[in-house]
Amino acid sequence: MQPDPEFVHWLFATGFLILGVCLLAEAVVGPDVWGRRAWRAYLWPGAALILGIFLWPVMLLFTSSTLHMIAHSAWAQVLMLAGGAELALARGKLSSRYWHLTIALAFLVSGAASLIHEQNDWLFSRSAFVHHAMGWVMIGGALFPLARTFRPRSFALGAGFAATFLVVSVLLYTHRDVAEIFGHLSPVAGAPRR
Amino acid sequence: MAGATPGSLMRAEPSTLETPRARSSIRARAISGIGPLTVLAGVLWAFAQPYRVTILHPRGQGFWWLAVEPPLLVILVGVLFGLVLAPGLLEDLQEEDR
Amino acid sequence: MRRRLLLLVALAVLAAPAKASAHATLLDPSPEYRERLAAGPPSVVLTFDQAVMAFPDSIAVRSGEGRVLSGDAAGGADARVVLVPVRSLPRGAYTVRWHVLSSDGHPISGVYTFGVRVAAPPPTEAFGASGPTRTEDFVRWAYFVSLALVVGGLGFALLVLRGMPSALAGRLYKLIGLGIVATLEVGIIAFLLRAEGALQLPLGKLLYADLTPIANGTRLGTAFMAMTMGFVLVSVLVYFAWLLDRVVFLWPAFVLALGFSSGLSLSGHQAADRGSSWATQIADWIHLSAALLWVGGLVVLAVCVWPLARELRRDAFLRFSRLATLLIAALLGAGIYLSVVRLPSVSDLWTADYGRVLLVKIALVTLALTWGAFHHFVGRPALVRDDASGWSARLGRTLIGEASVAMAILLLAAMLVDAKPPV
Repeated sequence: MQPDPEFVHWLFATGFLILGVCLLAEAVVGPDVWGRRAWRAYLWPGAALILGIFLWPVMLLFTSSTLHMIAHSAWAQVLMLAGGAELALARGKLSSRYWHLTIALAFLVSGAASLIHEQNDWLFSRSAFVHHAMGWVMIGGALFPLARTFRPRSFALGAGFAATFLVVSVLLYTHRDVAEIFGHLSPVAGAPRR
Repeated sequence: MAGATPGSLMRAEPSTLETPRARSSIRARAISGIGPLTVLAGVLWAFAQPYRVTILHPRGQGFWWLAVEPPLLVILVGVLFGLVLAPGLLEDLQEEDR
Repeated sequence: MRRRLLLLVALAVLAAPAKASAHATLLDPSPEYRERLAAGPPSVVLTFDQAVMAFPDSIAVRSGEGRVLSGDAAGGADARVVLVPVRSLPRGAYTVRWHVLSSDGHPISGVYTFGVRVAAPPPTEAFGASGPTRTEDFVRWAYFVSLALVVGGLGFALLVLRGMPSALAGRLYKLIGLGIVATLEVGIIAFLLRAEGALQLPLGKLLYADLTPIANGTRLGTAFMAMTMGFVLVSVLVYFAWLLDRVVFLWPAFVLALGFSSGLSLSGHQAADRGSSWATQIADWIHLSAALLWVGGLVVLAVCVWPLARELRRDAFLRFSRLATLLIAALLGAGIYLSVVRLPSVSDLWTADYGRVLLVKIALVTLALTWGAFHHFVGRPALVRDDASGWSARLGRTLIGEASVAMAILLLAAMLVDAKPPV
């Protein structure tokens, strides 16, 4: 009954898509309108926290390599930390704006884990490309929450933040496998089985 | 405004209020569009890659293949956004205008 | 235009399907992990989820004495299969160590065991496996200390303070939170160290090693999985108690933390050695729980109550003193029972390694008990009298001393858990 890893990735892609559309809507209407209903203020931080919690069973059930375990536990922890901090900020339990930096930290750690997790070159195979792309999108995307901590009302920063989640979602929906990328496939990677 | 005559205030109204309303209308349209656009993305994906909607051709796949169908999940997110989030956001945008 | 085209090509390439996934995963080993066979198999066959590259030494089957009983490994007709012929195997336990090159270029490795007419040992006891090491003893000690912060912190809040007084809430939540994070982190480190001991691989290869037989086929793996998930739940409950200012969430967190601490009893020697029974496992859990509540409570008393809430010192100390009496009774009762089971002869205390560590532990426990008795018989009446002889301030320092001795006891307990009793 344990799902293949791909299904888990697709479920998490859906979670990130939810985060992305929520954040996009928040960027469009602005934090004041978004925060008019309390449940809405808790929505995406709560979703991030739940995604973090659900990453733990993923870490525990998919033990095919040490690296996978470490990477998934890192993702679980930073997502729980960031979601938890944002939820506490929304609730008023935390007040320092610097707690927003936990999101930037989560992106940085997640991006680094994705890159370390894939040690092949970008064009080694499609899987390698997706891991590199995801890693760099998250590391680059960390700039948005970082800057947003100091300019929370900026539409551009809010939209960039949302877009990072949306791009990560698309990359998570992608097949991560041994297939050519831009016509390249390392001979070490073996033949794709289409 | 203390020195403004009623006439000058009347004349000033369209130019001062038009911009926020127009902006709000753009925002309302953007919010209204997020759900349908997400649904559209899911539908286009389903057409582009019908094999990723396993339920259309269940060749003996197990539970997870039938339960997790990426294009349908994208459509679901769009529908949920349109039904759950968008109406409240549009109401709140209207209230902000008043 | 060219950029757009490139983007479209990238999207198309990303979207096109292929069946193989990123890293190769061992799907179906034959014999299976820890399988008990009626007769030796003619070959060992490993089936992966995708094509892999095999080498002549890709699979080695070794006897309990380390003799290699397999020939050269080779890929099967199906590129996902690697097999090795095996000599006729007599009754005994066997270790399979394998390594192949995954199609993503990563060398993946693993170890597992099977038995011919005998039960197979866990992979942590496979031929060539080492440990537990001194590092593991220290990691286990860190695990005990972090558990003490969680269990003791929650227990102190609920049973002694009967809530979260606002003067203490901030630091107490931080202490419990620190304990939970440390429990999760140290748990992962402990598991990986054990896996490293079983796999015997350099770090570069360990990163891509298959941990499934250790996670799913050993008591340690099962305990690790259950405890990690359990303490994630504890973290969520404690977080919501803090976020919503609802102490009621701390009760299930406390019960879960106490319950999941039993994973240590179920994964240590208590559950495997001769003489073990459900009674020894329960006794071990009581012993551990009482120790965690006692040590954690002392830390909270010394680090939170004394410096932050002068007005709570007296009541908290008196209530903890009553609770500690019960805890010490449970601790000693369970400890004496376990010592009798583990050390049938008194001379084992000085002739066996396990006995010698136990002897040092008993000495430290005696010191801690004397310290506790001093608190009980001298400090307590002074606090009751509420005299101004400066006892109140001095007690804070002596509580830190007692907590330090208690933590040293936990280190010896960690060494005992990893050691084999002479029974």
